[in-house]
Amino acid sequence: MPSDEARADRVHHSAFVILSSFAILISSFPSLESPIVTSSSPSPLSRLISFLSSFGLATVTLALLLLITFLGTLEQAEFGLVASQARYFESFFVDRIDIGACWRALALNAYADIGNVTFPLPILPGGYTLMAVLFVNLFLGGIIRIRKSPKTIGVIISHFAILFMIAAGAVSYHFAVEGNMSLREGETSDEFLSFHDRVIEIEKVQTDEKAKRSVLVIDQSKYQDLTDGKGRTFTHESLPFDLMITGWKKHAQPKPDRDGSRADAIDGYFVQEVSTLDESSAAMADEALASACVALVKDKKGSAEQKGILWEFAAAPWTVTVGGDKYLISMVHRTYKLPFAIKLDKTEQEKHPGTERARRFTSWVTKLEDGREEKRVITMNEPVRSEGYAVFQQTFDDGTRSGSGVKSSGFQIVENPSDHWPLISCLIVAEGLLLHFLMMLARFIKVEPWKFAIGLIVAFNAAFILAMWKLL
Amino acid sequence: MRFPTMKSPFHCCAAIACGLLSVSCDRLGEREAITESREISTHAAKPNIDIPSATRFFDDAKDEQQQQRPDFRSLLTWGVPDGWSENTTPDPMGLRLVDLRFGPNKEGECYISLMPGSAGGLEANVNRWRTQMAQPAYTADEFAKLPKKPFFNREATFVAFDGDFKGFGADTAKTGYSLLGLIHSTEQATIFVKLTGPKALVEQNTAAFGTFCQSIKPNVPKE
Repeated sequence: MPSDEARADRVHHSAFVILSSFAILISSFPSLESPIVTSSSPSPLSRLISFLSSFGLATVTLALLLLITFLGTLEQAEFGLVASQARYFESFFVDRIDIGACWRALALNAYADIGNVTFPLPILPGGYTLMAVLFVNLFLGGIIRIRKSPKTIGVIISHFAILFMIAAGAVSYHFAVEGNMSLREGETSDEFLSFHDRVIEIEKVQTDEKAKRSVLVIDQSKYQDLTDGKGRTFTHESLPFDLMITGWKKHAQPKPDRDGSRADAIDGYFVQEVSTLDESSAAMADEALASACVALVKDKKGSAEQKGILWEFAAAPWTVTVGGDKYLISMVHRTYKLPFAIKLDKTEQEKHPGTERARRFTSWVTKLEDGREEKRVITMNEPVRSEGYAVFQQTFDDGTRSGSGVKSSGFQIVENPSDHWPLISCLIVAEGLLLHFLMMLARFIKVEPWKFAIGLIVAFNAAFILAMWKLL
Repeated sequence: MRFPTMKSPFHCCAAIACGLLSVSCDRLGEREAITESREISTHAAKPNIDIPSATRFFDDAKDEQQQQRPDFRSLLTWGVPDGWSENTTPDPMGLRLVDLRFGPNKEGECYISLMPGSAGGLEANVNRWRTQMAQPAYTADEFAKLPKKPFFNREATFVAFDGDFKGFGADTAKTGYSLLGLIHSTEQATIFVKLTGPKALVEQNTAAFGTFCQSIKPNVPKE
């Protein structure tokens, strides 16, 4: 799935940081041969700085990054990309290691089945902690304390680029937003739905059709711990009722209570938990999971209670009537607003000749903003970028899948302030390492290092630009 | 200031046990204020209100429901204009309640379809038809100026335009076509009457289209 691909890109991003850091670490050995001059009895601060900038710390950090990348990738087979990424790469500490899952991912169960073995202690630092340590280590050791000379200029440039890439990862983790928007031909929207973030929304039904509509939002982090037996009541001054959420399940489906035998049935349905593994025992993509919970509405003025089931894949919200007003309560993916609206004028798919295999989906859209209209074309791998947002063509439906007979397009929308930072970082790393290796080569073949290195770098860059220009 | 101290391990354990007990007793008693809100876009679809659980949860017993579902054709009556005939081949999407043909080679077609709710709204559907005819979407002003015609004892929006028609599933567009359409929408359902054909043929059958639309009535059972 495209969103999983985007997440996988982030894992690759981490792997790239590790590999580049190793390469630069190896290339920096000669630069750091001579230790920093220290006093005979170093102060605790200088000892701390020495430790934080040491090769030992860098080596251990990179080794641990390799280890968590290895384990996280193995666990992904049973837990899915999102869960595995959260546990290994976005955490301060890895709360537990599922050795059984890793064992099965390596297909070692063909030789010996160890069952479900879990190491329950948080002994491994998570990706967030390791990246932070690597940043500090690289900054102190690779920028501040490294010997400054023409010999090390290339390495310093590359260190700076790696720091920039780690910063890009942090900005992306904290500030990037991505989701999708589905539009049928003729439809307009300025909102998109997050791929992974879920919420419960409460909307008061307006009697005046022209009145502004708004919803109260409860983030999933506030109710996803409310499994069976646990409950939390959510309140707001504008609501004539309190909302209790209980019995949350990560992947579930409402099932009809045909014979009326279920004590937990609500309006003839009960919440049935469903496995998060598919038919081949692989973890389902996070987007395919539908969480559900039980909601209890308690009138603030009386003792009246209404009970309903909230389900992520429900066709419509749950309607409750309190004090003569109607309220809609739903469990949905988080909605984000765009600073502009997109109207789908037309969408087409192009097939490979003589086959039913899609070659290209293209959408002709109108970008609407402040009364201005702008015609744009979005096609696969050629997104429309505007105001920090990138709109990618993601899916196409000729009307058969939805059953409506109306063609529609699905757009992936990404807002990432550090969208191009990894590319810039890679280019700087390449230039820095090229400079370093050419300087070393020049000394080896005993020519003027600066003239040789700069001349070749200019030639390489000119050739690269020419090749890209011809290719694109 | 002196704080009370735990005088024995027993007291300490008892205090921890009481604490844990009070936490476990309060597993349903937590309260939290809702602090987040957002405005809904003006482009957002109208909310679906008072939808029963069976519909919300795509009930597994849909096969039984389908058996009980009324035949929508039986909900309407209509008169087939002279020279028109009913096409008995089912349409690919199965959305047409009645599918009529006219013209020397039966190249003109007119059908009624019924969809639940607003079916995406008037603008989306008219502009979908505009796209099928290779015409640009109507602006808000143009929508406001669209004529109304009496239909079902209420008003329906009437559209008529020419273009190159490329219907659903067609590979190539048919040039020199005309489209006439009538859309009537309520909260419960939207009814479409759509006629397409070569421009000259459509001009000859415009009056018949009007007659056909007026003949469509709810099929109220006689006492």
